Amino acid sequence: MHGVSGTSPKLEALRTQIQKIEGLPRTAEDILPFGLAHIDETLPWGGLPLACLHHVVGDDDALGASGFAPSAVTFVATLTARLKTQRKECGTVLWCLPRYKAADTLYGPALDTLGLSEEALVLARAKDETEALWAMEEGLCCSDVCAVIGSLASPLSLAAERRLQLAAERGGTTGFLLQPGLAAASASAAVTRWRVGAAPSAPPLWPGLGQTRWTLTLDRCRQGTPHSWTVEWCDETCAFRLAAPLCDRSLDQLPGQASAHERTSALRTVA
Amino acid sequence: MSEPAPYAPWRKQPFAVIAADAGAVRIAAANSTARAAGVNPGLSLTDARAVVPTLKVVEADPAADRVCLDAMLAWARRYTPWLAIEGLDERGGAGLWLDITGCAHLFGGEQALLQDVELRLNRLGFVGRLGLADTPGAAWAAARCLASDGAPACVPEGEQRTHLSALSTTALRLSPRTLETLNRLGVMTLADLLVLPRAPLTRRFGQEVCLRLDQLLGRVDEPLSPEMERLPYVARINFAEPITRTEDVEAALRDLLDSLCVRLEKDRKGIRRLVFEVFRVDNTADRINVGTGQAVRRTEHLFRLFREKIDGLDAGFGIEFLMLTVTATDPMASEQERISIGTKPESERASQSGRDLALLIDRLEARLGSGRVVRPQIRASHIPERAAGFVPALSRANQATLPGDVREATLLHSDFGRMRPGARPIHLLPKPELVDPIPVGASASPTQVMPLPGFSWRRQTYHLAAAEGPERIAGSWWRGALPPDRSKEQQSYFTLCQDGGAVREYWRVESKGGARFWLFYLPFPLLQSCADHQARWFLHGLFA
Repeated sequence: MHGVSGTSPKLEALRTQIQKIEGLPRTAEDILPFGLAHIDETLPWGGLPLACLHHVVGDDDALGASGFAPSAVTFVATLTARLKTQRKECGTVLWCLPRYKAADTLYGPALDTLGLSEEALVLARAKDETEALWAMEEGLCCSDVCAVIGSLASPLSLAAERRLQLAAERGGTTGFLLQPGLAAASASAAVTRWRVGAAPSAPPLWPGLGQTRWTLTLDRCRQGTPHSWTVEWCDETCAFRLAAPLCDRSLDQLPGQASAHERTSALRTVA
Repeated sequence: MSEPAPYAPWRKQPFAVIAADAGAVRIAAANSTARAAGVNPGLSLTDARAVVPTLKVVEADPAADRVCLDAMLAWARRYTPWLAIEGLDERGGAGLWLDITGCAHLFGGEQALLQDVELRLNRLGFVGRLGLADTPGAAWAAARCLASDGAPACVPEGEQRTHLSALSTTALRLSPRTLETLNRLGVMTLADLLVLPRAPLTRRFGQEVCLRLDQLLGRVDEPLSPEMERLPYVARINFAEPITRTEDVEAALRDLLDSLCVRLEKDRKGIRRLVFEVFRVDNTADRINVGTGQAVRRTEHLFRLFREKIDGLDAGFGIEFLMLTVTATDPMASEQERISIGTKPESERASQSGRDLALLIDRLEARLGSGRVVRPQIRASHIPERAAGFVPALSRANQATLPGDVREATLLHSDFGRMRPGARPIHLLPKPELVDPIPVGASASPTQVMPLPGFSWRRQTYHLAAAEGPERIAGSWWRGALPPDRSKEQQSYFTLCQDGGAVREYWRVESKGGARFWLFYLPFPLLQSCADHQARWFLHGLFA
């Protein structure tokens, strides 16, 4: 599961100890797999760790200026819908968003097709970001909530993020911070940071639109390495798959070993 | 109580209340005029009509009697706090007991009190028959057998025997069978009964006769169980010294909540709305309202609802007293609070689940404001903006209590109106926004069906790479044509689309960068001003 293999047992024990301190998952039920080997293998936990905070940033340049991040919103909605099915007994998603902003234009029927049905979703419309953060923290501590999504326009301070991260650890709930665009790469208390942007789709054999494609970038990841993929999102099965060119190439590569070409210039410090 | 007030105009005429009794319609009660003419309770209606052809009758309504008596009971609380409703059964009609022990002097003596009651009852439109005596039994007898309409009977202290012995045995509250047997034996009055030895009487009739006799004479105590006033759920705390610290207010609030929750627990009720009032020394007050989505009786939860608002409280020169009032309650069964130590059993966890969510929604609503915590709702409409809405997160309507036809429509919708995945955008703009299309011919792609080469929206230009459509959505034609009196300024494009039954042609388009949009085109111009091609493209939503 870990990227580095064949190390001494001492180092392994140390690693375990650090993980315990950091409160990151050890068991399989604390992990949400993407169902896509390439991504799951890149993440040190074999999937998205639960009970912690994740940061998802929209990367649709032109749209982000208007405050929209449809790709990032759909990505998060998909993940939470999966999370909901994985955790059957507590299946409510709390979505905290500021009122009268672009974030508050979510369309119910579309969320429903993604798997977030009417019963599963509760929206909290906050007056400002302070209220939204308070609502997120309350939601993260609630045992009936499986995931909390917070749509925010401006980047959070490290202290605020840390607070949410602690609340997530305490409540065993997964939090997603959703931002339309990233102002600057700042320090973050979140365990992972993703950048999601629309990518041109492959033209289908018939007239019309092809499958939706996203450029999915793992900007930072605690204990892991940044990475970037172009994934295709299948509406019908609600599943990801690697976009065709990458798929073809990955056949003659060892799994989990990314080529230099795949890595983007977004490579920065490894958290 | 003779007649209920609504029939006051009939007071001077023969008037009776009838009730069906074992296959016959009998007189249940009659007024003095009717009784004077010979219409007595127990007579069949046919016989009564034979005696008094002009007899007015109305059917008995015990429920209304009860309501009326309750109202009178509340009214009679002005004389004494010790009150009871007497005998809502077939014998002797109903009445009120007033225990005026220690109260009569406030009204100037017993006679004065009787007159006051009489006068006030008359003003309220009732004719009362009042009896006053040492014991409830004697008062009962005095009111029913000694008093007449408008002439109260007062039995002086300790003189039941002398005043009441001439009365017939009906004054004893005996069962009809006992009464009949006594009469057959020739015991017609109380005086006849009083001279009889007690042992054979008890052997013959059981305890009943002797007990009633003793109760009348005061040999046996007959306690009344009073109808207690239903006190409102109010708790109040006064401070010897004005308080200013938030911690003190919080501690006091906890105490108030505790005391209310204990009372509500007894009455099996839960709180839905609460008002917390803070009175300061300078005669100013603040009130904080909180509401809950479900009935709640847990101090901790209610306290947390207040805590969000108590922080901003201004203590001024100090707080003199605090008052907590429950303004709405719901029935709530008693439940066992958590007692299990260690791990919770599965069943308890299941019952627990959902409650935490309700409490969370309450807390969120308390801070964010009511109506801010919502659930999305999918509605049965083919018009995109009408197909989605929001309902309060804890509303009843959400919990499958929709009326049948609405639910059917929703089901219908969920069956074949449910969208194909990807057919609807994740963001739907609250109002479709007019976009500027790039003129056709500038960069048209010849290989694909393209409605337009590109557009600009919110100062950004998007060149299209692919498109899919059109999906034609007709407007609500049944809403009729546009009202012609509206000015053109008012008629924004959106109201035109929504109300005017305009047909929209939706296209899913992808820009060269990969962003996907939901555009629509109005194939038929609605106004002369938008007849040109330019002003007929709108952006309605964004896809992932």
